[in-house]
Amino acid sequence: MDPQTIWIMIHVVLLVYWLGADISVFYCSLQIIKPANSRETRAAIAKVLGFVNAFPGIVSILMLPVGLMLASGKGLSPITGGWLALVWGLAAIWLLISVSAASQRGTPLGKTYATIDLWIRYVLIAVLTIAALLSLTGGAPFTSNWLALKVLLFAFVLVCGLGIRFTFAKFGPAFGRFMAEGSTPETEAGLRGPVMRVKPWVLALWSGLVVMALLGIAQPLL
Amino acid sequence: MDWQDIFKLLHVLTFVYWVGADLGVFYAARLVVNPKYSPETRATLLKTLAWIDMIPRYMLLLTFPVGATLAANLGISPIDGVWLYLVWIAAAAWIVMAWQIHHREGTDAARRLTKFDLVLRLAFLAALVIPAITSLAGAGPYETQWLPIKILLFAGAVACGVGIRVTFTPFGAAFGKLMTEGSSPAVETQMSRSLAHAVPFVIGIWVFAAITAFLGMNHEMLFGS
Repeated sequence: MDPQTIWIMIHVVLLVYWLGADISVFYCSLQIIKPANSRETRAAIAKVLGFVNAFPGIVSILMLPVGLMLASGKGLSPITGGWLALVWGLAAIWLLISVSAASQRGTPLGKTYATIDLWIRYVLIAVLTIAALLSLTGGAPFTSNWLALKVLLFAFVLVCGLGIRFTFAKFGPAFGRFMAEGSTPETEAGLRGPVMRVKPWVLALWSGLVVMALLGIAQPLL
Repeated sequence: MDWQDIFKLLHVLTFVYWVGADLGVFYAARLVVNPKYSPETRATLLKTLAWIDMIPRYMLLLTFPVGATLAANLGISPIDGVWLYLVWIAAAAWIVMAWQIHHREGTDAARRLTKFDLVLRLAFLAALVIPAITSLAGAGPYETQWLPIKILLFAGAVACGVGIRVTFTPFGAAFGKLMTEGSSPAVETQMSRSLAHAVPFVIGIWVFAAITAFLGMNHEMLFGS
């Protein structure tokens, strides 16, 4: 069996646990800000949200090396052989850092991991954008325009992810305050604000993923 | 890029929202059966679970007409032209019915519709399995080998869905008791047991859906058609 068949499958399954899992996160976030729900209920919903939300975080990191595997198999990417192994190594390290940032959240070590993760994302956004723009204008490093556009959209999706992270940063402390003080107009507003502000970023991220999926399926001559 | 690509995208998205949304359902179900939570919290968790669970339900119903359209455009399915329109109308009606069952939960109308839905599913299963088997035997109506295999695998997922419904029926009764009479060991056991019975069917759906998707993505490489 051609290994490409397995990589395509993994590529799509990653989308399943990114885009498909996100809808649960979205609905849970709306239940968390519902004043009719008690503290205990909202804490339980937060548990569901936290569990499901771990999946998009992991699969979004794996998406890039898997996509590059597919591109190299089709002869569309210069990242092959040893370079591809290096990409996998770096992705594995990034995954470890990102997972550690989540598991150590609230500790100084967790904060360090989160900062490193943030800088990895800044560098990656810059590298992907430059590589995509060079490819679109000069035909290298990626030889197909649809692939270059996908790379650019991946950078866009990473930007949306950062937008989500920054707008949602206030939610954690607000939730802690709500759990301590109970439902007051202030604590409810504190919960509601970040959830409402994060929506445009989430919708932009989903749109980016859907367009990327279409580009991958159609592989149009652009 | 043409319409076929758009339908392929829709086909992938139905898979994405079917299996991906199930993750939230699966985890929330484990919290619903946790007796440490108050009945109120468990009721809200169940409501959340039920809302998220509608997405896979709609997707299961939607993926068939999308797949039928793809197959018709490839010229390998007899469901074409007027028949394809009919499939779309039937699927749309069924989705509306599924929404009504969810929306009117607890009413007699919903109970009647749920029974009708089960009968429909058994008929749907027969309509999937019989022509797929005759096609594999060489008598048609589907062309290619991979399409009838894919339809059989999809039927496997639909059958698992029926299995979930049957195994999960005692859960609803036990949950009703929990809400009216409060927690008791008997009620908790019945809920946990019902959930445990449903789990193999849930995993069955994921496995069938994944193999179906794998075949759909790779039929050219695997079957040369």
